[in-house]
Amino acid sequence: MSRIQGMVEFILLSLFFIQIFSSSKQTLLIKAFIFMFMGVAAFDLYLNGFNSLDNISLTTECILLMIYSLLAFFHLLQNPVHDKILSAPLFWFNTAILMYFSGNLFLFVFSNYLENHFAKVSPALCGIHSLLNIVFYLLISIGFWKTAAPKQI
Amino acid sequence: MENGGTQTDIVLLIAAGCMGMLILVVSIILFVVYYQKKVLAQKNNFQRELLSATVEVEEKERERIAKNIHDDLGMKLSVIKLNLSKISRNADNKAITESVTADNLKILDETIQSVRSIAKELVPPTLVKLGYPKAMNELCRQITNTGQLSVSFLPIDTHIQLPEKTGMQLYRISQELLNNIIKHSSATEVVIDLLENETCTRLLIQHNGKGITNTEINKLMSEQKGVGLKSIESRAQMINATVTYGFSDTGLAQTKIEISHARKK
Repeated sequence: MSRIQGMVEFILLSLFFIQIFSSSKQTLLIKAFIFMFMGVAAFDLYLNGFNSLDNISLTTECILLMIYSLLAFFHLLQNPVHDKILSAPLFWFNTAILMYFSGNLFLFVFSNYLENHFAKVSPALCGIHSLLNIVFYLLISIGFWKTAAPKQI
Repeated sequence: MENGGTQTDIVLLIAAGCMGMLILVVSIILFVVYYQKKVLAQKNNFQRELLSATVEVEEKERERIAKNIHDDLGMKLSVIKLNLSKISRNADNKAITESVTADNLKILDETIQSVRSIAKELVPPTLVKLGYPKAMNELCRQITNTGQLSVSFLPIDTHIQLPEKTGMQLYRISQELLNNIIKHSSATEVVIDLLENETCTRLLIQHNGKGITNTEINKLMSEQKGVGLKSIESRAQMINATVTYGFSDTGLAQTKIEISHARKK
């Protein structure tokens, strides 16, 4: 199930980033990454089976989304829409994505190893994951809050 | 026990990796915020400088017009006034009246000419009636006639139609650039070219004198010098144009003004 969730998550986030970038080169790059990710996910499925943890796809997803996120920051600096970057919803969405996926990168890389070698996953690692989840949703909420139109006087 | 120790080590390693990545990300985000603030501050500073240069140029222009009016028109009108009072004092003397009236008519003719020339300096009638290419042609001819400098205007397409505001600002920029060439470059020949394609209109001014590069221009502007340069920049921004200073492939000094046809987002 987590495999399907990961694929849907990656495709939806890729579509989100396609909306952000106006340059056809970046859009093309994202489309190429979608196909690349599909290939990696299929390889992971073939290698580990449907019921195992999809750490290869998750790791690839993390790295690709970190690339998108860094590109989006570059785009924000190149095309400033708001006078203050902290007022831009994209800044908050992007920060959420970058923090969540970069923070979880090591967890995802070692998830299969931990499951295979240790009886139960360390509460400290679960704690880190939960904390990153909280931060992710908080930052996304701030992003939505910033999309609200300014009040008319 | 050993297994427990290994697990703790691995957990610590992963936790440290996560923290390391987070620190890296937070640093990137802080850098982005700081950099954007710095760029914004620089942009605001530049805008302020441009605004102050525009005001300064405007003030100088007003001063010059006031001086022209005071020295030329004011003096002539005073003479006319004196002549009229002379006529009123000598109303009985027909010879004086006729002579002074003739004088007055002559001075009035000169006054009308002065008013025309001041108005022409303010807004060249050729520019308003016939557009930028024709006005530039006339300006180049006037400069060439002085014998100091040969200026040729060679537009590839003579029927280029620029919007009135764009034409006016481009004409002022061209005037300022030619003025700078006359004052600072020691050039003997200037060639001006105007061409248009789907994306932009390009004005290229090349001369055989001492040129200047973008870096030197930026330095002059940052040293609070070059009010004219700032005025060029400010006018260029008004018409969505970019001004590039440098040298051509053949080593001639050149200034390129590109007016983008795309509207600013």
